[in-house]
Amino acid sequence: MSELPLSKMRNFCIIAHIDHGKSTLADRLLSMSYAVDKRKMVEQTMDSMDLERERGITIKAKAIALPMNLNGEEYLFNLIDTPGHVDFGYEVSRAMNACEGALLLVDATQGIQAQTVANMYLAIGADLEVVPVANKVDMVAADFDRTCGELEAAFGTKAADVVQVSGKTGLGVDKLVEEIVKRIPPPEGDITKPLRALIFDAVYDDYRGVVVYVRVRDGALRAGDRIFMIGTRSEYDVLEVGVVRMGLHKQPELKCGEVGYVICGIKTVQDVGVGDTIALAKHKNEIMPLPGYKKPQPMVYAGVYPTNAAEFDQLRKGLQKITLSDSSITYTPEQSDALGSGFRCGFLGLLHMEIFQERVERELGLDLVQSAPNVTYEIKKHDGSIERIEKAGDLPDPTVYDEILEPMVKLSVITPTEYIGNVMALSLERRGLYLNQEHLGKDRVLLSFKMPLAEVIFDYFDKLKSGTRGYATMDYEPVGFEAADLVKVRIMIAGDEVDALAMIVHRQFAEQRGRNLLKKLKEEIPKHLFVINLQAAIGGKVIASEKIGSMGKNVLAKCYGGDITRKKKLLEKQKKGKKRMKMIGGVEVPQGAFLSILKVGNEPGE
Amino acid sequence: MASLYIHVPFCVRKCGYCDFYSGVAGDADIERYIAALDREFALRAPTGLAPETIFIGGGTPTRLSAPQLGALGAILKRYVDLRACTEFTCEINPGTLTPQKADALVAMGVNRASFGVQSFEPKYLQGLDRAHEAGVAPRALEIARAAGISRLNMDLMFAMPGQTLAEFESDIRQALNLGTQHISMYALTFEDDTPLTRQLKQGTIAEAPPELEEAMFQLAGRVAGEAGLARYEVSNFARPGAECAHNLVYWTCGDWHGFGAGAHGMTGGVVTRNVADFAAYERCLSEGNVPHVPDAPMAPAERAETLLLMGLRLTRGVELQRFRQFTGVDFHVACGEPAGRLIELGLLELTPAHVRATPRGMLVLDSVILELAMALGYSV
Repeated sequence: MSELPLSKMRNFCIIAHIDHGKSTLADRLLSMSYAVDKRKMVEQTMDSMDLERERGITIKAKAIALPMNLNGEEYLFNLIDTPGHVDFGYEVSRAMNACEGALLLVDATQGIQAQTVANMYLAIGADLEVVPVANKVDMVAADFDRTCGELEAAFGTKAADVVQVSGKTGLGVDKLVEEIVKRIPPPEGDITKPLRALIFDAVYDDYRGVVVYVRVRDGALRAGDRIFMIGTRSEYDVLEVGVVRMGLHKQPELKCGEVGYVICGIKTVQDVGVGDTIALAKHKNEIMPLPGYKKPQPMVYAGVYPTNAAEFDQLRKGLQKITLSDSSITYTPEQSDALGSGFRCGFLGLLHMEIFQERVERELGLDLVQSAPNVTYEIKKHDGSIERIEKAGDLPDPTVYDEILEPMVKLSVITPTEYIGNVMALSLERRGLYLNQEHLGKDRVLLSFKMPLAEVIFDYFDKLKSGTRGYATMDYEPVGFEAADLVKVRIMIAGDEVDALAMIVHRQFAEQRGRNLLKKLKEEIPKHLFVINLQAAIGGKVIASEKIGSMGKNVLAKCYGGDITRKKKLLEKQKKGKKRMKMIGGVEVPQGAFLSILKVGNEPGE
Repeated sequence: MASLYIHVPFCVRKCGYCDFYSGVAGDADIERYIAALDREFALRAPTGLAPETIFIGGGTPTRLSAPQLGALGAILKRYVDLRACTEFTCEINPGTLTPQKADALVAMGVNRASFGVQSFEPKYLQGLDRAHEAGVAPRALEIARAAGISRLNMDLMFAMPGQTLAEFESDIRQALNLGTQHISMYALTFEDDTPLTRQLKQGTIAEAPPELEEAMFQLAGRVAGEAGLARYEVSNFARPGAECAHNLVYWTCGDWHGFGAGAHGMTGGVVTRNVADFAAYERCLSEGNVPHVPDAPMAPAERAETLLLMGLRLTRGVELQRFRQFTGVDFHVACGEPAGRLIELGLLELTPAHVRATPRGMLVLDSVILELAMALGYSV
């Protein structure tokens, strides 16, 4: 395949909302490619992790080489898979940088969704040639005209340019292949220049170590080369290069314009920077890196603790294992008064955190307690220096800093027009700043807001779904930090301050959130032999308080000689349960209480 | 001298709330059971067994016919020296007692009868699936008295689904009017795997509200107390001197031997638990084997825990000297920290010779015991 000229090559990705049929279309292209032995083709080849398949999300981008025959001429398609969620926006943008084009896939029964829009803007930003595709046109519920109308309203797409397909039946896919060849430009590159290759993904493999996915921009990358990764400043010997079809296919070299993999003895994906540039080691001092590389910064943090303190070591080993294949998770040991020894883990976003939780439970079999997630704050100190605050408990006294900044996002919501009022009310109530409204056809609208990320992670999505009968979709992208009037709400249980329950909240909502959190705690903490006082305070000022009354009748009715064994077994169970509780100020606090923070909104009576 | 408990695992029918090992059986099963009991006594009754108290429980001991009761009496005569026995109780289902059976019991040596009345309200008896009807309780008491059994107890139940405070008070007064010296009043407990619990789960019945149950618990103490029957254990009330001596052995962790399928015993800190399944029990004995694997002797901390969980049920509490004897350490040393907190909360009190729950502490006794047990550091 290497002998094909660049003019016969097409590098592209598919951008789509979850369940709009990306995997099905990829399979269809794969089965059309004569390279594929149909008997060996497993369903949805691009999604290798069970987890991803279940969630309908492709977490890790990969590239598949698809030899195509069109009108007797040979072409090579490199289909680059991108994650469909903006938590992975940086990875998506790197994968797009490996392409010249993108298929914008829209389910014609659903119309465009918030995610579609966000990814479309990324594609435009990456200067890709976009081919709009309406999928599932064979279905009765499909409305092609309406989909075209929305595409035109949102992106100025002409209806004549929209390709109609059904990934499921194969309808229109021949035509799509033609359009890909016709519209997406072939890659360019100068084979005579020194090597520069963009790393757009890295996947850990138990047998091969880290498999690095690259797009060669200039020159060529050969097995045996001594290479240098500019961003991470590390050198390796290339053991193997090749392309992925059904598995890895070794080649002598990858030339400029080509997409493929490199294996060079890297042990963990932590050592590879997505977006980094590979050069030859001999050029390390003169070559300019490709633009856009940065180390992804976690947006959301949460404390992760083993339920059983004895499993701390297993958790540490487990985190090591998970970060082998997911370099964007950070973790540092942390000690909580309430939860004991654990780790503070950083995630790219909420979805990323959920995927992590599921992987931990599935792959490690550990029972975990997780504290409520929070965003990262920054404080500007008197000397002008900036300090990152990763949990509320760490926020120092306000006299120590000039201002506190919080991460902001641009939030896009697509909703049927009848729910505009609800979406506006919810978003403004969450300190959202209304930015823009775009009509997509006659009955749907794209609303955008600037909003603190902290407000988005506070069950915004659940509230949005319930306020729009499930019709709205949302997406967000980070847009930097902004100063805000934020205060730390401290929580006291029976007079003892609980670090794990502290929250950083806008002053305007502090009292209501404090009150709501105490109400939740009252539900979570069982009655004791004594009355328990709960308090929320800003600094030394108590802003809310609650009482948990003492327990009512609790005594076994019958206990005779034959009941002793049974009663002792029961007592043993109670003792174990008691040991699992966290003792705070003589109060046993169940694990669930630490997640209460997430469930309290700004509204009274929640 | 160690006490003696004999279990009769047969019922006329199974009550809706009962999770004891018992079953409905025919006469042939009963005869085989009596033969097996005979073998158990022959195999493991200590020589010179001369209990001060005996208790025949069930099941329903009076499910046995008069001749079968006679056969049981004959076994006792062979293996047990009854001369030291001051209290010999038999549990009676009011609907099953006949003058002939009462005579057989007296002949055996029974001088105390415990009647499972539960309620005088027909609708609640029905709700509990009890085998007897409401009117039979007074008649059963008459039969017992006529046969010469003068020491009587009645079991009542409260916090039954739908029961009102007034209905419960009426039950207590009716029991008192029948001239009993001893009443046990139990809050209905929903045990796993009982028909009643299944109904609860299906939502066809509802548990009594906790406040009502608490009010009933207090009412029991007041009404019985006014009639001269003081609460001496969580659920037991008696005229002074009429307390159940046999049950006091359990609550003070004295020694007793248990015979019969599913019977437990405890002597010198060693628990024996006979196999509960009747067929397995019979098979063991027919093969000449003891029907239980003896438990390991209890460690001092476990004995201390057992003493507290049984003894604090008594209003007089646990003897500090006995605690020391069981564990080798003072109660103050072993449990001082939680005891101090519980005393401060007004749930526990110390007298020169006892540690005991206050009336408020009695109401939440299981939590009080748990606090103390945590300090003992015993775990399986």
